[in-house]
Amino acid sequence: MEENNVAQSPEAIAAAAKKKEGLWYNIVHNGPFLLFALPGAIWMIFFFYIPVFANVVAFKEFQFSPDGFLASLAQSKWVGFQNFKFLFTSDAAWLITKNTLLYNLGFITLNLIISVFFAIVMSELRHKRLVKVYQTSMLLPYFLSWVIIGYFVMAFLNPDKGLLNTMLHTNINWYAEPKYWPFILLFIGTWKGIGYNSILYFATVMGIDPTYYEAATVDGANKWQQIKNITIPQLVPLMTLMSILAVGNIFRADFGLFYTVPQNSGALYNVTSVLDTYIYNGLTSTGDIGMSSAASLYQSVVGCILLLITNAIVRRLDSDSALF
Amino acid sequence: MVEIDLNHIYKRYANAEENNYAVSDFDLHIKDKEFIVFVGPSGCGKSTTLRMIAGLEDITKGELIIDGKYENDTAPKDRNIAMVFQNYALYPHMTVFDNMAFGLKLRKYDKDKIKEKVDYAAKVLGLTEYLDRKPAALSGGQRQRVALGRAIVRDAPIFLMDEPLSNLDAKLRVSMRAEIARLHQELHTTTIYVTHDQTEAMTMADRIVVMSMGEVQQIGTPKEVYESPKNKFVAGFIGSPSMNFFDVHYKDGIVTDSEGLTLKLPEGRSKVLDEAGYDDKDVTLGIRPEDIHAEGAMEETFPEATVESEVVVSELLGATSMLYSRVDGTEFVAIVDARDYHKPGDKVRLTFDLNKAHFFDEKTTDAIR
Repeated sequence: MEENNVAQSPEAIAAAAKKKEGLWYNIVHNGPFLLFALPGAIWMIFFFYIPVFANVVAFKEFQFSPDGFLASLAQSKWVGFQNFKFLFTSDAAWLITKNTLLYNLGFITLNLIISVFFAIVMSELRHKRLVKVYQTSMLLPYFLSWVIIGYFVMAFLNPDKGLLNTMLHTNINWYAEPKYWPFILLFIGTWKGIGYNSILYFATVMGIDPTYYEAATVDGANKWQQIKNITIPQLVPLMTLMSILAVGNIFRADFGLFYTVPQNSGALYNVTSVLDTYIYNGLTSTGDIGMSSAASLYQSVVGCILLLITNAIVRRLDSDSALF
Repeated sequence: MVEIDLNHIYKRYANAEENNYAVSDFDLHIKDKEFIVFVGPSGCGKSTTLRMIAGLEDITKGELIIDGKYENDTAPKDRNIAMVFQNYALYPHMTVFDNMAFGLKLRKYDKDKIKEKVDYAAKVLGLTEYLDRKPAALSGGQRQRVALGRAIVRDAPIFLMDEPLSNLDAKLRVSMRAEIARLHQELHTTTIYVTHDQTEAMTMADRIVVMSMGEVQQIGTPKEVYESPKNKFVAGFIGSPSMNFFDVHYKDGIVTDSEGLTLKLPEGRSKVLDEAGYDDKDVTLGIRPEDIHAEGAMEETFPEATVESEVVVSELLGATSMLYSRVDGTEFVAIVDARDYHKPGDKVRLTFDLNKAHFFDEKTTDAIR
């Protein structure tokens, strides 16, 4: 009896409550919410998690079997890291890695600077309808497919009837001159993505408490000082988040941009070959699924490691801005 | 020496109709080192007026003269003002030191001078140990002090404060109120303070500007505004709990209301009404809760202003108690001594000190004097 009267410590009460609220208890009590999440979870399991197991292809000499994919997988023999060895010892490995990294670094930098710039410019516009016109026109390229954009670019760069050659009175065979393409690809890629990113930054700028600006105005800050001391610092968390996510994808080049826009021109391979096009070309020309899978796995693993490293650095500098 | 003149100031917002002014005909002379409080309900135009003085809103009509200079079109930074905002407006990415130093850095003060000024303000406000913290790591009261510190370091002769205490809890508000009053006495700045809290206005102001619907209702010292309200709005807004109002008919020195309340006015009060031509007319009688008494001595003095009432709700506040009472259909509240506390349902005899009663014209709501 006496034992029952002894007051329990808060920790003991919390532990008892936790014990009572076990997994089954939580499933039952959160049933309706779990049902809401179920379709998304099923979709994720089928299209994200189950395909992860197919990465074993990267460690096999894949042979097609008429009995389907699983049978092919079972019948293919293990080759360990042979596919990776083949990938890294090929001449293309360094080139595609370099191209993928440099282009993506370019995109991350340009997208960040230009998107923030346009977001700030839009936030300073007082004519609301004009802002909507700018937003819509900037967002339009984001929704265009690379095939359509490829033809737009063709209209400009066609050696015979292209707008650029006509305007400049030149006769440049754009699709055979690699020196121009790093700039063209960076420009087109940035142009397509800028509207979407600008809107994200613009929404954040619009959410900044206007009294910060009023206080700064009274303190004597001009427009540029307000942008430098209020707007940009307030955008830093989003800039960091977007950069971490972009770094996680730094080994994932935009296939449409690098394949469709240069029209898969062989003369441009040195500047347009990236991991994604290399995997695709490898698959279509040699049919070597094992090596393509190895390249794809390499892409994912490096991307994941980079994301973790970047996030760890950000967390050390400013824990509030870190992704996790 | 800084004096501020607001000469017939009007404010109309860009999308408002032609005669729809947020502030109309605001006319005020503010003396050097004066502590002026704009008070009124939400949407009365008090913050808009303050923002016009700060330069954060354009003035539609009228003149703003600061220190003898026409300042309607002067940029906020050139008006030599410091402002404290309701939500503090502290830059979240800067430390307390940087927040306070920001205005000085922009004005290109040298580093030693900035440090000296910030250290002084931090010392005055008790913030020295928090200088390296960011606003998120401060309590509401500390944040408010940083906001005050940001104004202090500027050495501006004019302080504008836009409801600076409204985000604080009741206890902290009282202590910060005293702190702001102390700062005003130490710094000798001309201060314009906006609040919707009449207690803040009464306790802090040299003069109060009571506003409603964009118009100034009365300008005066707290005592003037409390004791001689110009109209029914001011009488009802200043004082807590609000003044009791009764729609009554006045005839031959007696007021009666439709619910059966009958009170005989003292000679001096009925003379005022007679001379103003209100005999046999409807007027509004106003009396503050603290001017309704439960003591027997008051009943002996004013037997014809004593009523037998029933307590509907009672609140014991410590030294005093509030009795929400009813006489027939007429309800009112009285603040009486705690000894005269009664439970709901009790019958209590209450005496109206009609020498302190106020009368208002039923139509114009202006005070009858």
